[in-house]
Amino acid sequence: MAAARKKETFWSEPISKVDLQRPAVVPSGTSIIDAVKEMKYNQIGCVLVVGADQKIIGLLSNGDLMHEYVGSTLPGDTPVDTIMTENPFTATPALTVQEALEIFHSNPFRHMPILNGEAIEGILSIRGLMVFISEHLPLEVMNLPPDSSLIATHAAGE
Amino acid sequence: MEGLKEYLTRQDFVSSSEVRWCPGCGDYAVLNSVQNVLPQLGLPKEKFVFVSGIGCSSRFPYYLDTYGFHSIHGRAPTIATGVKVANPELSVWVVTGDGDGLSIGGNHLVHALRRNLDMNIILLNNRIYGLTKGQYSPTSRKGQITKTSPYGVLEEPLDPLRIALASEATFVGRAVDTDPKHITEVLVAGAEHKGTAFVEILQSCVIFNKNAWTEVSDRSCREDRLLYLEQGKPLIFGEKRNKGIILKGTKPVVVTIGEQGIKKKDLVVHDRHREDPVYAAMLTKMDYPDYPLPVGIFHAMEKPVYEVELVKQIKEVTALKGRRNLQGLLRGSEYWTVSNKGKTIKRSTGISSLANDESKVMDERIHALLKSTDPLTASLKNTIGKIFYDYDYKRSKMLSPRDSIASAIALFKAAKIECILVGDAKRLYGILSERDIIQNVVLTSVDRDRMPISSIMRPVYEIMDESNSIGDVINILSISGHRHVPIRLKDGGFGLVTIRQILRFIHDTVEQVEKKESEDK
Ligand SMILES: Cc1ncc(C[n+]2csc(CCOP(=O)(O)OP(=O)(O)O)c2C)c(N)n1
Ligand code: SF4
Ligand SMILES: [Mg+2]
Repeated sequence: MAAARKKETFWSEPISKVDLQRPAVVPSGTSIIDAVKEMKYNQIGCVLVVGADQKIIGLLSNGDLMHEYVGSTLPGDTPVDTIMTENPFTATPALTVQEALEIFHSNPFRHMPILNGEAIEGILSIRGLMVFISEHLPLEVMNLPPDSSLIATHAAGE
Repeated sequence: MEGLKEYLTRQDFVSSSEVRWCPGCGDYAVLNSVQNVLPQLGLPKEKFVFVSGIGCSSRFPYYLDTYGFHSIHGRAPTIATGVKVANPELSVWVVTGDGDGLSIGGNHLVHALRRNLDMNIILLNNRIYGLTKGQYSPTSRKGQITKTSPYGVLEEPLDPLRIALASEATFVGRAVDTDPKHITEVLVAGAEHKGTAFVEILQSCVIFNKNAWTEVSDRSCREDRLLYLEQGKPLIFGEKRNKGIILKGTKPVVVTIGEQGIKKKDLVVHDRHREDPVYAAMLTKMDYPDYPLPVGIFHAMEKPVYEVELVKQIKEVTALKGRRNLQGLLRGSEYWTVSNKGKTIKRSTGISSLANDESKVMDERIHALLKSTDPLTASLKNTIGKIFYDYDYKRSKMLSPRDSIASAIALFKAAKIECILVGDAKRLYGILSERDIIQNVVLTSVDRDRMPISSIMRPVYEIMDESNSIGDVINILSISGHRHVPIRLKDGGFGLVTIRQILRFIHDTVEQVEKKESEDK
């Protein structure tokens, strides 16, 4: 059946096949200002906070900054630990595309660290997931003319 | 045939036409060499055909007492192809110049080479248009002063041999006009090669480009500046035959035998039969003064010959289908009628009744593609309006560009949104995301109460229409790198569609599909 065919092609693919983003990482105790600089430098919407043993203890997102820091009385040198999301949601590279979709569906965050044991493989973002899905739909998404209503209904050459 | 070899002499190939090249022109030496080569090939005179284009060099056929065709500028390889295909028994020779063969005829040369007919192409390279009195050509050196480059040529010159290698030529050689004996050797080998033999001859135009090659071809220094390639022998040169070439990685290096422990056996051994073209290409990159300039046969390979394959194919198909009638094809039942000043075009019944009507088959394939029954892909043809209204559309917020940054912050906090449209009901001026606020407010000390949003918003990459398909929007989001795209609503005004909404839609569609599938089972 047609839907089953699609599922086979990319639905059950592991997340390790998706292009993950290189993470921005700061040690626990880093100031909020420095954490934001790190995000800007890495052009990513979140930064991972790690303890002395390099294990992730938190994640700071633009959302955290907007709601916990901007407009608050906290000074810029406050440690990120104060406002970060503690013990963020993580997953392994074996997570399937479908499972990832389910997670982003029922949670408000846009970034999820992917861990291989203790090692940080990268960050899965909702954008990365969408691009991965669209790459599997060349006819419907990737290879459309600039105005898709003008898609040819006849073979070229006549 | 053996007998003919002794019978024909150089004199037999000298025509009665007066040779009209300038005195001292390098073309003379080449003509003499060719007249020397032809009797050695053991063919009767009437089997030789020389085809040329336009140029001094292309006057060649007049001066040979063979069949010949001084043809159209740049088209000699094409005409020669026709001659050879029509009569494969002939020994076909193309004579062309750097202008004829690489400017106007560049395309024809490339395709003749890759086709690999059993013929010979001689390109006389004087790095100039001689006949038209000295304009620069595709092989003119950078900086060369000519009539059309009074302040120096700005373009990178082409290397004829690298063009030949890139065109999959099966025989590639080079000789200089000051060494006719060597020209003869290379041309004989080329003539004996089964396939197209391409030979560049460095030729001096004494009138318009006198010194094009003197620094390498002059008798006094030739030994030191030319590298004669000999099959199976090391790359040795120099008057004392004590210089050679070794390879460091893929880079050729000039060495002296006996210095720094270099022995003759360390030198690269020439093998023109190497299958990969890398070695031959490396040789073409060697040029004086950094290296000696290589001459001889760079590359020679046996590959199927076009006219042989063609004759074979014709035989096979004729055996299968019988001989076809060209007139029958031209006057057959398959035609189109154009009438009503070109407005109506009709197929003849002969065409539409064809069993394997190709365009029909292609159309059917396309319709099948477009009419996908796959629920997920079909759902992507829905308009984006569906996502916008079904998924949280009330969360699209808009502010005026004159509103303060502080008011935007307040809105972000209150509405828990990721992005704000900046504009009014008629125009969209920009877009402001959470990230824009963070990076500007946290890292710089903007006065958020007094600075307007317009100072930090970002321009709109693309505005889509409510009627665009979901597929369209995913495409734009993938290309743009943004997380949201504004859409123009049917009832006026603007809305925002985000990646999150799209993923929700895909998620729900898949969920429905799965539910239906398990119910069906
Ligand atoms: C269609 C056309 N365009 C331009 C010319 C002018 N023209 C005659 S010969 C020539 C270039 C010849 O250069 P090359 O092949 O290097 O011959 P050479 O005279 O140097 O041997 C040109 C551009 C022409 N005869 N016909
Ligand atoms: S113009 Fe140059 S190429 Fe032409 S005949 Fe004279 S010397 Fe030879
Ligand atoms: Mg020329």
